[in-house]
Order: sequence, then structure tokens, then C-alpha cells
Amino acid sequence: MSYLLQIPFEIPEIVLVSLLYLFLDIYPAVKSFRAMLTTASFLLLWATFSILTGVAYFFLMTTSVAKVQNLVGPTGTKLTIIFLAALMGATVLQSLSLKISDVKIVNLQALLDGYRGQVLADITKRNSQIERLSAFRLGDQLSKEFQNNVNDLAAEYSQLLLFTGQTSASAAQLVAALEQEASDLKISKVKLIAGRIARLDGARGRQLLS
Amino acid sequence: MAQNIRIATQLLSNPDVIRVFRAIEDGSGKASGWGIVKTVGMQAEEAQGILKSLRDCGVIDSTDAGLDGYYSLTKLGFELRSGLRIAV
Repeated sequence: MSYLLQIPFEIPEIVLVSLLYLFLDIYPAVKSFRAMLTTASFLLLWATFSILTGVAYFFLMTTSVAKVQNLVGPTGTKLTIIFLAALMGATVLQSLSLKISDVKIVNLQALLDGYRGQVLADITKRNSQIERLSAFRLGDQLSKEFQNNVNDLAAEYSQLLLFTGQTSASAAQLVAALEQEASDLKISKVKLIAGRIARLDGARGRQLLS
Repeated sequence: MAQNIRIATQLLSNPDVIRVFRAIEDGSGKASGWGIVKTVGMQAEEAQGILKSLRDCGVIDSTDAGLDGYYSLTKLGFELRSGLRIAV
């Protein structure tokens, strides 16, 4: 019974274990912690999953605490139950469906798969916005660095185009189109080339600054 | 929606489109159109055409038009990705 009184104090651990599970599940597809933690739909999924893990934790604490304690000892009991609760929450979310007379009345799996797809799309969209701003920043730095040396930057751009698999004719065409664009829109050529390099190969752009 | 899925499925029967789709998937939203051109080693105009077709049928989304934009999969794109994995 004393375990039940401690449940409110276990909330931070429950929330952290829930986050750990979601990282394992979602990170491989989005590859950005920052984008995950700044996407509203992910935060909602995290909150929902934490609540479900909390309910499962309460259930396990009231029914199986003695058995778990016998198996893993008193020190590992709490952590084991939190992990089991997270697994229970995930299992319920991923597979709960109720079928009556060949008609699925409840299908949490389809609902969760749909929402998970939306979360992944939202996070990768956020990634795009972050990368876009980072490319603008890199482009600005490159254009400042090369403002008196536009020919070197143009040569670097042509070389990068060839590395992407463009033929020399199409690379020359792209460079000419960029020069035309700069002239038509009255934008500095160095700024346009710098922006293009930042989008084409950010790593090379950063290397040019060092 | 159903029309978009049909068009997308037809598009994704083309190996070049699959290469572009995979490059966007691997980029996780961090790949620009130019980055995708570099990854797949395709001519810029051809890649731009494929990106536009995929965007028009709602499989991918981008921050800006053309190769200067950064591309990511939409919800439909992620659903089709699972289908592609099963097909492979």
C-alpha cells in the first residue's frame, strides 16, 4: 500500500521512460531531437503515452508489485515496473481493437498509425524549416566571406554542380541562369551563389568558411 | 485523397521516382532539392520534374518551390513508405 502513496512522486520517471520509448520509436525516421521536442503533435503524443504508462504503472503497482519484487529484488522493483508499464502502454496503443460480428468497432491501431504518420510528417516538416533557416545563415556568412572574391565562389559552385552528376553543359547552363537571375532581379551574384552552395552542400559551405 | 493515392502509386512504380522518394526519406526533411539532386546523381531538370509530380499528389511537401526548397514526406508519404517496405 505504501507503494501507491509514492505514485505521484514517480511521475517524472514515468514521463522520462515514455519519452525514451518514443525516441526509440520515432527518432530513426526523423533524426532530430530538436525538431521532435519543438513539434506540438509530438508533445501531445508524449503526453498521451505518459498518461497511459501512468495508468499501467498504477495497475501493475496494485496487482503485481510483490511478484516483481520477488523476481528482481527491492532496488530494481520501481524501475522494472515503470518499463513494464511503458511496454503495456505501447502494446495497448498499438494493438487494441474490438471486433464484433466481423465489424471492427474499436480500432486503436489504425488511429495510432494515422496519428503517428502525422507526427512524423510534422517533425520532418519542422526539420525542413530549421534547415532552411540554417542555409540562409550559412549563405549570408559565405557571401560576406567571399564578397570581394566572387569568381572563386562561382568556380566552387560550378565544381559542386559537376560533383552532383550534372554534365558540363548543364552546369554551365545553371551558372548562366543564376547570373541572369542576379542581373534581372538586381540581387548580388555572390549572395545568390552563396545561397545555392548552402543548399547544395552545406558541409562544403561550412568548410569554405573555415 | 483516393485519386492522389492512385497517382502516387503509379508514380512510385518508376525506379527514378523511388530513388528520389528514398532520398527524401533518408534526408528526414533536411535535404534540399539540390541535395536530393546530388544524392541521386540526376540531372537537375529531371529531378525537379519528379519532385513537382510527387508534391502535386501530396506525397511530399517543401518549404519553397523548385530545387531551393527543403523536402519532407507528408502523412501520405509516410503511409506509402510503409507500403513500399512491404513491397520490397
